[in-house]
Amino acid sequence: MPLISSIFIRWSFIQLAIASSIGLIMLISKATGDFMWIWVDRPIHSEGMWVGWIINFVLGTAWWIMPKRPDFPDKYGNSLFAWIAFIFLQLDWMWRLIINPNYAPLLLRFTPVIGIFFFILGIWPRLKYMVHQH
Amino acid sequence: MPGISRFFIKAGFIWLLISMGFYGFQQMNPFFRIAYHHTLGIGWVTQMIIGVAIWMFPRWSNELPKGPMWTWWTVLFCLNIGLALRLLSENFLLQFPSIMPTIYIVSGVLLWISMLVFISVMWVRVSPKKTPQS
Repeated sequence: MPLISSIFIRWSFIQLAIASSIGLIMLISKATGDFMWIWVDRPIHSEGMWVGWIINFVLGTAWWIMPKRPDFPDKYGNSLFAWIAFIFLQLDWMWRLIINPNYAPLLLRFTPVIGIFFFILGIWPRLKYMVHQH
Repeated sequence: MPGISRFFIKAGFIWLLISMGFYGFQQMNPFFRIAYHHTLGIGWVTQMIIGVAIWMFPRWSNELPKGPMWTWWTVLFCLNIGLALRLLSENFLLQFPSIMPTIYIVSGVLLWISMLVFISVMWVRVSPKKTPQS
Protein backbone atom coordinates (compact mmCIF):
# COMPACT_ATOMS: atom_id res chain seq x y z
CA MET A 1 0.00 0.00 0.00
CA PRO A 2 1.49 3.39 -0.96
CA LEU A 3 2.22 5.87 1.81
CA ILE A 4 -0.44 8.37 0.70
CA SER A 5 -3.15 5.67 0.76
CA SER A 6 -2.11 4.65 4.24
CA ILE A 7 -2.30 8.28 5.36
CA PHE A 8 -5.70 8.84 3.71
CA ILE A 9 -7.12 5.70 5.36
CA ARG A 10 -5.61 6.22 8.80
CA TRP A 11 -6.76 9.84 8.76
CA SER A 12 -10.26 8.59 7.88
CA PHE A 13 -10.07 6.32 10.96
CA ILE A 14 -9.13 9.30 13.15
CA GLN A 15 -12.07 11.28 11.79
CA LEU A 16 -14.37 8.29 12.31
CA ALA A 17 -13.22 8.04 15.93
CA ILE A 18 -13.76 11.76 16.55
CA ALA A 19 -17.11 11.90 14.71
CA SER A 20 -18.50 8.78 16.41
CA SER A 21 -17.35 10.00 19.85
CA ILE A 22 -19.18 13.29 19.29
CA GLY A 23 -22.17 11.25 18.08
CA LEU A 24 -22.14 9.20 21.29
CA ILE A 25 -22.09 12.32 23.48
CA MET A 26 -24.93 13.83 21.41
CA LEU A 27 -26.93 10.65 21.91
CA ILE A 28 -26.32 10.67 25.69
CA SER A 29 -27.28 14.32 25.71
CA LYS A 30 -30.55 13.53 23.97
CA ALA A 31 -31.34 10.78 26.46
CA THR A 32 -30.39 12.61 29.66
CA GLY A 33 -30.49 16.32 28.89
CA ASP A 34 -26.82 16.67 29.95
CA PHE A 35 -23.88 17.82 27.80
CA MET A 36 -26.03 20.22 25.79
CA TRP A 37 -22.86 22.06 24.69
CA ILE A 38 -22.06 19.15 22.37
CA TRP A 39 -24.79 20.17 19.90
CA VAL A 40 -22.55 23.01 18.71
CA ASP A 41 -20.30 20.29 17.27
CA ARG A 42 -23.04 18.66 15.22
CA PRO A 43 -21.43 19.75 11.88
CA ILE A 44 -18.19 18.04 12.95
CA HIS A 45 -20.15 14.84 13.57
CA SER A 46 -21.98 14.84 10.23
CA GLU A 47 -19.09 16.11 8.07
CA GLY A 48 -16.68 13.83 9.89
CA MET A 49 -18.80 10.80 9.06
CA TRP A 50 -19.69 11.56 5.45
CA VAL A 51 -16.59 13.39 4.16
CA GLY A 52 -13.97 12.65 6.79
CA TRP A 53 -14.60 8.95 7.15
CA ILE A 54 -16.22 7.72 3.94
CA ILE A 55 -14.65 9.94 1.26
CA ASN A 56 -11.13 9.84 2.70
CA PHE A 57 -11.33 6.07 3.06
CA VAL A 58 -12.61 5.54 -0.47
CA LEU A 59 -10.01 7.87 -2.04
CA GLY A 60 -7.16 6.23 -0.13
CA THR A 61 -8.31 2.78 -1.18
CA ALA A 62 -8.86 3.89 -4.78
CA TRP A 63 -5.32 5.27 -5.04
CA TRP A 64 -3.96 1.93 -3.83
CA ILE A 65 -6.20 -0.48 -5.76
CA MET A 66 -6.92 1.15 -9.14
CA PRO A 67 -4.93 -0.13 -12.14
CA LYS A 68 -1.18 0.71 -12.02
CA ARG A 69 0.95 2.23 -14.78
CA PRO A 70 4.18 0.22 -15.10
CA ASP A 71 5.28 2.63 -17.88
CA PHE A 72 5.33 5.58 -15.43
CA PRO A 73 8.29 6.40 -13.16
CA ASP A 74 5.90 5.77 -10.26
CA LYS A 75 3.40 2.99 -11.05
CA TYR A 76 0.74 4.85 -9.01
CA GLY A 77 1.07 7.94 -11.20
CA ASN A 78 2.01 11.35 -9.87
CA SER A 79 1.48 11.08 -6.12
CA LEU A 80 1.80 14.87 -5.78
CA PHE A 81 -1.83 15.16 -6.96
CA ALA A 82 -2.97 12.80 -4.22
CA TRP A 83 -1.00 14.70 -1.58
CA ILE A 84 -2.51 18.03 -2.69
CA ALA A 85 -5.97 16.41 -2.67
CA PHE A 86 -5.40 15.10 0.84
CA ILE A 87 -4.35 18.50 2.20
CA PHE A 88 -7.18 20.42 0.54
CA LEU A 89 -9.80 17.90 1.67
CA GLN A 90 -8.91 18.41 5.34
CA LEU A 91 -8.74 22.22 5.55
CA ASP A 92 -12.45 22.96 5.98
CA TRP A 93 -12.97 20.16 8.50
CA MET A 94 -9.86 21.12 10.50
CA TRP A 95 -11.08 24.72 10.65
CA ARG A 96 -14.45 23.55 11.98
CA LEU A 97 -12.80 21.19 14.47
CA ILE A 98 -10.32 23.72 15.86
CA ILE A 99 -11.75 27.21 15.22
CA ASN A 100 -15.52 27.25 14.69
CA PRO A 101 -17.78 24.23 14.03
CA ASN A 102 -20.57 26.30 12.48
CA TYR A 103 -18.70 28.77 10.33
CA ALA A 104 -15.83 28.59 7.87
CA PRO A 105 -14.57 31.40 5.61
CA LEU A 106 -15.93 31.27 2.07
CA LEU A 107 -12.60 30.21 0.53
CA LEU A 108 -12.24 27.28 2.91
CA ARG A 109 -15.69 25.94 2.06
CA PHE A 110 -14.51 25.26 -1.48
CA THR A 111 -11.25 23.51 -0.57
CA PRO A 112 -12.91 20.05 -0.75
CA VAL A 113 -13.88 20.62 -4.37
CA ILE A 114 -10.29 21.67 -5.16
CA GLY A 115 -9.06 18.54 -3.41
CA ILE A 116 -11.33 16.26 -5.41
CA PHE A 117 -10.30 18.06 -8.63
CA PHE A 118 -6.62 17.30 -7.99
CA PHE A 119 -7.40 13.71 -7.06
CA ILE A 120 -9.24 13.23 -10.36
CA LEU A 121 -6.26 14.74 -12.22
CA GLY A 122 -3.99 12.23 -10.54
CA ILE A 123 -6.10 9.11 -10.97
CA TRP A 124 -7.38 9.84 -14.49
CA PRO A 125 -4.36 8.44 -16.42
CA ARG A 126 -4.64 5.16 -14.54
CA LEU A 127 -8.26 4.68 -15.57
CA LYS A 128 -7.52 5.69 -19.15
CA TYR A 129 -4.84 3.01 -19.33
CA MET A 130 -7.33 0.36 -18.22
CA VAL A 131 -9.61 1.24 -21.15
CA HIS A 132 -6.73 0.92 -23.62
CA GLN A 133 -5.76 -2.47 -22.22
CA HIS A 134 -9.15 -4.04 -22.85
CA MET B 1 -14.34 -13.96 0.26
CA PRO B 2 -14.20 -14.87 3.97
CA GLY B 3 -17.44 -15.80 5.72
CA ILE B 4 -17.33 -12.81 8.06
CA SER B 5 -17.21 -10.43 5.06
CA ARG B 6 -20.33 -12.08 3.65
CA PHE B 7 -22.15 -11.45 6.93
CA PHE B 8 -21.15 -7.76 6.89
CA ILE B 9 -22.17 -7.31 3.25
CA LYS B 10 -25.49 -9.16 3.59
CA ALA B 11 -26.32 -7.15 6.72
CA GLY B 12 -25.34 -4.02 4.77
CA PHE B 13 -27.84 -4.82 2.03
CA ILE B 14 -30.62 -5.37 4.57
CA TRP B 15 -29.85 -1.97 6.14
CA LEU B 16 -29.87 -0.41 2.66
CA LEU B 17 -33.37 -1.80 2.17
CA ILE B 18 -34.47 -0.40 5.54
CA SER B 19 -32.84 2.97 4.82
CA MET B 20 -34.76 3.27 1.56
CA GLY B 21 -37.93 2.73 3.58
CA PHE B 22 -36.89 5.56 5.92
CA TYR B 23 -36.08 7.67 2.85
CA GLY B 24 -39.75 7.48 1.92
CA PHE B 25 -40.97 8.13 5.46
CA GLN B 26 -38.65 11.09 6.06
CA GLN B 27 -40.27 12.94 3.19
CA MET B 28 -43.58 12.70 5.02
CA ASN B 29 -42.14 13.26 8.49
CA PRO B 30 -38.69 14.87 9.05
CA PHE B 31 -38.44 12.94 12.34
CA PHE B 32 -37.25 9.92 10.31
CA ARG B 33 -34.36 11.84 8.71
CA ILE B 34 -31.90 10.82 11.43
CA ALA B 35 -32.92 7.17 11.06
CA TYR B 36 -32.47 7.45 7.29
CA HIS B 37 -28.97 8.94 7.58
CA HIS B 38 -27.79 6.42 10.17
CA THR B 39 -29.15 3.32 8.44
CA LEU B 40 -27.61 4.52 5.17
CA GLY B 41 -24.26 5.81 6.50
CA ILE B 42 -23.56 3.20 9.18
CA GLY B 43 -25.79 0.27 8.29
CA TRP B 44 -25.08 0.30 4.57
CA VAL B 45 -21.91 2.24 3.61
CA THR B 46 -19.78 1.63 6.69
CA GLN B 47 -20.76 -2.02 6.88
CA MET B 48 -19.95 -2.57 3.19
CA ILE B 49 -16.59 -0.87 3.72
CA ILE B 50 -15.80 -3.08 6.71
CA GLY B 51 -16.81 -6.26 4.87
CA VAL B 52 -14.71 -5.48 1.81
CA ALA B 53 -11.76 -4.19 3.88
CA ILE B 54 -11.59 -7.43 5.92
CA TRP B 55 -11.53 -9.34 2.65
CA MET B 56 -9.13 -7.26 0.53
CA PHE B 57 -6.84 -5.22 2.76
CA PRO B 58 -3.22 -6.26 3.48
CA ARG B 59 -2.67 -9.03 6.01
CA TRP B 60 -2.64 -8.55 9.74
CA SER B 61 0.02 -11.31 10.01
CA ASN B 62 0.88 -14.57 8.26
CA GLU B 63 -0.80 -16.58 11.03
CA LEU B 64 -3.90 -14.37 11.24
CA PRO B 65 -4.27 -12.73 7.82
CA LYS B 66 -7.60 -11.06 8.67
CA GLY B 67 -6.72 -10.27 12.29
CA PRO B 68 -8.27 -11.91 15.36
CA MET B 69 -11.68 -13.17 14.25
CA TRP B 70 -13.34 -12.45 17.59
CA THR B 71 -12.76 -8.76 16.96
CA TRP B 72 -14.74 -8.91 13.69
CA TRP B 73 -17.60 -10.81 15.34
CA THR B 74 -17.59 -8.14 18.06
CA VAL B 75 -17.81 -5.39 15.43
CA LEU B 76 -20.60 -7.22 13.58
CA PHE B 77 -22.60 -7.78 16.77
CA CYS B 78 -22.10 -4.31 18.27
CA LEU B 79 -22.80 -2.47 15.02
CA ASN B 80 -25.98 -4.29 14.07
CA ILE B 81 -27.47 -4.69 17.55
CA GLY B 82 -26.47 -1.11 18.38
CA LEU B 83 -28.11 0.29 15.26
CA ALA B 84 -31.29 -1.75 15.73
CA LEU B 85 -31.60 -0.75 19.40
CA ARG B 86 -30.96 2.84 18.48
CA LEU B 87 -33.80 2.92 15.96
CA LEU B 88 -36.14 1.17 18.36
CA SER B 89 -35.36 3.34 21.39
CA GLU B 90 -35.08 6.66 19.53
CA ASN B 91 -38.67 6.39 18.35
CA PHE B 92 -40.01 5.64 21.84
CA LEU B 93 -37.84 7.87 24.06
CA LEU B 94 -40.79 9.94 25.25
CA GLN B 95 -43.37 7.15 25.39
CA PHE B 96 -41.32 4.96 27.77
CA PRO B 97 -39.08 7.36 29.73
CA SER B 98 -38.22 4.79 32.40
CA ILE B 99 -36.43 2.30 30.12
CA MET B 100 -35.87 3.75 26.64
CA PRO B 101 -33.18 6.35 27.54
CA THR B 102 -31.06 3.54 29.02
CA ILE B 103 -31.48 1.38 25.91
CA TYR B 104 -30.74 4.43 23.79
CA ILE B 105 -27.44 5.05 25.60
CA VAL B 106 -26.52 1.33 25.43
CA SER B 107 -27.13 1.41 21.67
CA GLY B 108 -24.79 4.40 21.30
CA VAL B 109 -22.08 2.73 23.36
CA LEU B 110 -22.38 -0.45 21.26
CA LEU B 111 -22.01 1.55 18.03
CA TRP B 112 -19.05 3.46 19.47
CA ILE B 113 -17.34 0.22 20.56
CA SER B 114 -17.84 -1.28 17.08
CA MET B 115 -16.11 1.71 15.48
CA LEU B 116 -13.18 1.70 17.88
CA VAL B 117 -12.60 -2.07 17.56
CA PHE B 118 -12.75 -1.81 13.76
CA ILE B 119 -10.25 1.07 13.77
CA SER B 120 -7.85 -0.61 16.18
CA VAL B 121 -7.60 -3.81 14.10
CA MET B 122 -7.63 -2.20 10.65
CA TRP B 123 -5.06 0.43 11.65
CA VAL B 124 -2.39 -2.29 11.71
CA ARG B 125 -3.41 -3.65 8.32
CA VAL B 126 -2.96 -0.35 6.45
CA SER B 127 0.74 0.09 7.18
CA PRO B 128 2.53 1.58 4.16
CA LYS B 129 4.61 -1.02 2.34
CA LYS B 130 8.21 0.11 1.93
CA THR B 131 8.85 -0.38 -1.76
CA PRO B 132 10.83 1.92 -4.07
CA GLN B 133 7.64 2.86 -5.95
CA SER B 134 5.38 3.59 -3.00
